[in-house]
Amino acid sequence: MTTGLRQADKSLFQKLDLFTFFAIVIGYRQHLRVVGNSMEGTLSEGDLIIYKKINQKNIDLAIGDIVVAFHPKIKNKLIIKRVYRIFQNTFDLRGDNFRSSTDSREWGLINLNIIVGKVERIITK
Amino acid sequence: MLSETLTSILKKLPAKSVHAHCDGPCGVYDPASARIAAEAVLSMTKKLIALAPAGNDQASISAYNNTFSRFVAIKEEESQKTKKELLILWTDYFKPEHLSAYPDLHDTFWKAAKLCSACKVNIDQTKAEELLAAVQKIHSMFWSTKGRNDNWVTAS
Repeated sequence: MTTGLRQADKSLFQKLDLFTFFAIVIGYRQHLRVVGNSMEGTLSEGDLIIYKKINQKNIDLAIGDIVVAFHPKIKNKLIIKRVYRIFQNTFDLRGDNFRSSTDSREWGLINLNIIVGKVERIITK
Repeated sequence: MLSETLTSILKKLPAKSVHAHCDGPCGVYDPASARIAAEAVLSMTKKLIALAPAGNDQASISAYNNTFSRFVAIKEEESQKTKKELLILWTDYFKPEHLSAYPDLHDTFWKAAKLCSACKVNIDQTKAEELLAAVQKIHSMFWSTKGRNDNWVTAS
C-alpha cells in the first residue's frame, strides 16, 4: 500500500501550447468542463481540464494525480477527483474540498477499469 | 499571444461536463428546515397544554376533541419532520472529518432524535424546548463547519 497527501502540481496550469491544442483537435487529448466544487482549491466550476486517456496496459497513475473516472453508481456520469491512495489496482479517490465531496469515503475503492484518464492541463475560466 | 488565442478558441468549443460535486444537490443543506419543524412542535405543545373546552355541553366537547386531535396530529407530524431533517444532516452532510472538531456530534444528533420521539408521543413542553435547544446546537455546528457564524433566528 502506498499512501500520500494531496500534491499540488503547478505544471497543470501551464499555458495552452499548439501541440496540446492540436492533440485535442485530432482527438488524442480530450477536454471537459468542470461542474461543482468538490475540487475547490484546485478546480473551480467552469474551469476546463484536458486529460489523456489511461492506457490500461501501461498505467502511470501516482498519488496526487487528478483523474477523470466514471461514477461508480451512476451510469455514464464522469467525475473528477484526486488519487489519495493506491492499493494495487484500486484507487482511493477524494475531492480536494473534502467537506463538499462525495468520493471513496462513501463509494469505497475505485477499480482501475472505470478510471478514464489523467488530467494533464487545467485552463481556468 | 498564441497561447491566449488557442485558449480563447478552446473555451468556445463545446465541452462535456465532468462532475466535481456530491451526489445530492451539493451544498443544499440547511438546519433551518429542522428549526422550523422543531418550532412547530414547541408551538403545538404549548397550544395543547393551554387548550380547554369552552363549556361542558356536547358542542363544546366535540369542538375541543376536534381541535385537540388536530393539534396532536400536527405535533406528531412536525416531530417526525424534525427527526427526518436532522437525520439528513447527520447522515448526509456531516462527514467523519467533522468529528475531530465536534467529538460529541453523534451524541448530539442521537439525543436530538430521541427528543423528537419524546415530543411525538408526549405533550411535554420541557422536552419540546430541549429539542429546540438541540437543533440550535446543531445549527451552530453546521454553520461552523462552513466557516460561518450565522445567527440563530426563530420564526416565532
